[in-house]
Amino acid sequence: MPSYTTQTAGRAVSPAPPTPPPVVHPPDGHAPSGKRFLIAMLAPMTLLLLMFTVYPFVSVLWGALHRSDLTRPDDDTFTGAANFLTVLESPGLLTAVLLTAGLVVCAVALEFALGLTAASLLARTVRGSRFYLAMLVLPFGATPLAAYLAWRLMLNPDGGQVNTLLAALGLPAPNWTSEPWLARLAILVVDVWQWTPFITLVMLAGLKALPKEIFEAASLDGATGWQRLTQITLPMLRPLIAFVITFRAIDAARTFDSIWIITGGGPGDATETLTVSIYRSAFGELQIGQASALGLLLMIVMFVLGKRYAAPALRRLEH
Amino acid sequence: MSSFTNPALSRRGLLAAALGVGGAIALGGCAAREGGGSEGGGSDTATTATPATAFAASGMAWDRFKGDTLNLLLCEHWWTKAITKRFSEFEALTGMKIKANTLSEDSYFQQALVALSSGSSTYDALMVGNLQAGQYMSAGWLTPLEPLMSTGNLVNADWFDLDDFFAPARAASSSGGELLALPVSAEAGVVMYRKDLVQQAGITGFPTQESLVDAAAKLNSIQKQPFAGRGRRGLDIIWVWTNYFLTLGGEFFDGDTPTVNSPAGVAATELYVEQLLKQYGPKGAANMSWLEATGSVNEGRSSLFTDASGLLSVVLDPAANSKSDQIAVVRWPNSTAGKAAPNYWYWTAGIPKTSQRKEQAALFYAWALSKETATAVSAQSGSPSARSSVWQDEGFLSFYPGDAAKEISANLENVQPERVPYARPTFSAEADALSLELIKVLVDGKAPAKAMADAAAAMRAAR
Repeated sequence: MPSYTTQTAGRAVSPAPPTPPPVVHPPDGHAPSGKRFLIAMLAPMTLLLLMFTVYPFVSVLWGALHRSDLTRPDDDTFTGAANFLTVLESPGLLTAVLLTAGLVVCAVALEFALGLTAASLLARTVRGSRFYLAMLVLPFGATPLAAYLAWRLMLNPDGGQVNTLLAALGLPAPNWTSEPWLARLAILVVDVWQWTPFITLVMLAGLKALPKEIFEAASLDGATGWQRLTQITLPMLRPLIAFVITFRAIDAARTFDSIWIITGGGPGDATETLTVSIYRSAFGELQIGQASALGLLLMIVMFVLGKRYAAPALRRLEH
Repeated sequence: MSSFTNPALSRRGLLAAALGVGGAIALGGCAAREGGGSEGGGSDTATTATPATAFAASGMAWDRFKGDTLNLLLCEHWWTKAITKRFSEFEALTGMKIKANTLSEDSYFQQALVALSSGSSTYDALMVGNLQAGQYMSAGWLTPLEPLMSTGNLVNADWFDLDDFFAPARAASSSGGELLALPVSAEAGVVMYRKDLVQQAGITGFPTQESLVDAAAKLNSIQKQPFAGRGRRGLDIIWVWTNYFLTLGGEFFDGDTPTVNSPAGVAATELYVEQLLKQYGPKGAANMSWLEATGSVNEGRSSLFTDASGLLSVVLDPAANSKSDQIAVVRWPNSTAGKAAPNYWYWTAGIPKTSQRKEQAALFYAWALSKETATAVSAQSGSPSARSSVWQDEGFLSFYPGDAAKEISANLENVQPERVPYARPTFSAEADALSLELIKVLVDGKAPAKAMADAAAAMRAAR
């Protein structure tokens, strides 16, 4: 415990004990009940949680366990696990799972590698680093829908700016968004463009918070840059890295709007991830029950991932 | 820890960020304009108010709900843009206030579905797309309109004249003999082309839809990949393909059994997907919606375009298309197998059953879809009204160049709405399954006969 003594005129003086705050009694003269006070303080947050977390969850669970087919809205028969079974037997599920997993792994790996590299460069005091930092956060500022629509038109193989530029450079103009693998690559590129700055900022904050003394000592001991990175920086940042990767992985698995606007899940079903499947099922086919079941399955996977990786990382960060 | 705490950097950073964000948003805006053009070619011209005397002649008590507020859910559309500019006329006439929530198509359908299925009374009136009409009607979410618009004492039935709406459009707005929506606009498949290039290629006309392939081949010699068409999954590719399919005599169902694997289905797929779109279509056709397709025409990369007549207002917009004066249109051609049967699209408008202000909403429609307002809106914006009287109006007809209006009007008469199962509640899912197979022909080179056989099976499974 640190000593709370202060030095005054060369001698130690213990500070006066803190004066307890005056107790304010309510107008009726009674002291506030601890229990009532607790309830009053917790009520707003509890109410918000009930409205925006518990109710939607219960509603989705109810939908998943009933027919919930809006083409037959009067029929809300309890169907038990039928919606889950329909979803699990659906021929497109495996493709959607693989596409989602592929997007998560590739996007997070690329974003982390690029983000860490950019953060390492920005952590050094170099000329223009503030300008680069400001430029880096631009994707955060763009209105997502406008940005995705701009990407869609830029990537349009017929007259889009990307192909126009490639053609001007004498390079082949790929069939972005209408060849399955190129469409997947296009979605990945947009995700990396949008989210690398987030990882950069978090890693930059982590790098700047590391104690300089350790690095100075390592330099004096003759450690190379690579050794400092692999044996000091990365181990010290491990909780932050675990947290940021898990957070991004969960978020990447939920990617919807960029895919929907740029490729619509196509060509065909080439970019139909789980979230696109859920949307199409709910708002295209009006199968709210099946969409709810798939949404719940995705949520369970996210919950398990979060519990397994994000929670311990958060605990380590707090310590 | 973070250099964001440096005030100097914050100011510069903020300035840079603001400029960048502005640029990014502007980029989005430019891109949208570039591809889609301004909806409703002439809609940016000044609005001429409809004379109030025209409404006084109806003998209706327009101000009976003075002080009330009407909540509308609207979809971005050339009609929406034009009618929104006239809301002040309605407010002056009735003393009511309008609160309109206008959303882009995807968001609109989502919002409408949530509002209707949850039984919310947020909206008093809303637009209904063709494909959604069947879903909403079969679910019982819309209010029967005849008691409000024709048999009651709220609207002067003779003055409003329901019979003036195209009969197929009224049929598409009805279910079980009940009128559940009012037709707003009427569109049908047409052939749009560049007069100068067609003439240069020595093409004298499009006698059949099969002749479009020869025309595309000839145009290809002076302009690479001259055919523009939609190939995006879902309604985009299905809407255009249906024109070819119906004209070849195809039917979607026999009873409840999908019949897209018929010879007409295979021939339509060979013609539109394999020959026109794949062989002569633009790069990236498999992901093209009307936005990219009209962009291709407007930027001069395509000279032959088969799509909805409503898109004429996009490709005729001189602000978006520098060659708009060279755009011509002809009705959908016959096929070697039969008479032309173009696909159609009616935007309609309805009143949710849960609305607390049904009569106020009916009064709004009596104004917005009256002959007077419809004629004024159409003449100004080119919005293809579902009222036949509008198609007699010289002011409206003059919006289109040459014989275009005559061709579009004649084309609307060829529409056979009973052959397109939009009203089928499960059609959206079935059409999506069919579209996936069409795209396999386009992208993977799947044989049309095999694709159509698989499509029929997928449509059965999609219910």
